[in-house]
Amino acid sequence: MTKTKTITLLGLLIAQALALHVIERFIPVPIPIPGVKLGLANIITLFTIIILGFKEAILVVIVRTFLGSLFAGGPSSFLFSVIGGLFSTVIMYMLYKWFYRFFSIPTISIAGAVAHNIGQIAVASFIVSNLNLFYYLPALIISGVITGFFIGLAVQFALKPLKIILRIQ
Amino acid sequence: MILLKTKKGDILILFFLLIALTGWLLQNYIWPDVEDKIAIIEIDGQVYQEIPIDTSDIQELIIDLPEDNQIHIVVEKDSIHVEDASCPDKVCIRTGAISKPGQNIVCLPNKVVVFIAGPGDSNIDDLSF
Repeated sequence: MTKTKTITLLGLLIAQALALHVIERFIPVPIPIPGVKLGLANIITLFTIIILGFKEAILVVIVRTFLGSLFAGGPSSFLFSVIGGLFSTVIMYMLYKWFYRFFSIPTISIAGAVAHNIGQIAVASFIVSNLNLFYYLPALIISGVITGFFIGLAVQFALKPLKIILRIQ
Repeated sequence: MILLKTKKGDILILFFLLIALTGWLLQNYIWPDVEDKIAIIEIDGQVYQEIPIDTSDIQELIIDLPEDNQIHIVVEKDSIHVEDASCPDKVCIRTGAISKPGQNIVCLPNKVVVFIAGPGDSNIDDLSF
């Protein structure tokens, strides 16, 4: 890919991730457990890992969470989502880069979602200095498995047509 | 659905579910259900107030927090919930009422935690850091 094309694509991906990040806040989740969410923006993160690479994915996550906290949330939600997001990106990249033979895309996405939720609980319990927050960890792992699976499916189905549209390979 | 080809490592999902199940079983061990439960309100890591929730009548607490923020907590028989809070995300309100030991309500922007503990957990600091 040429440099111009990469930059343009990055801009588009960040815009899409930000839109998903903001829209997600307006979708009510029926389970009243703090931290349970769809993780729609993870579609873009995983797609960026596959198409562009690690550094670009990290960039997308940082810019998305930063702008996302400006649009809605605030400074405490930035710290909160950026650490969960970075942790999940690192995990997904390692699985994709070194263990792609063993894991299908939905499983990589699930691992990312679970990592994200664990990272968030860790940050939250650090902020309020209270380990009781880990009470919700089992529920958050289950929710990560469910949402991560569908997010991974979305990436898998989108990948082939998008590669054709973007004329990659 | 040819696209749903699975690979060997996808067993990782089962591993996650197993961890969640173990965690669930451990919940009763770490936070056993007891009589005479108390609700502990912590602000910024410091215990602000302990309220017994098994016996008390309806109690309303409006706590003033730094930077003109407020949190409105309601204690009913056997449960406690956040009625209103001046934070942007309202997660604490959506969490609803809690009643079992270990359950907690978190207001991250205001650094407020409300959680339920047994009467023997007055040295609850062992659990926090």
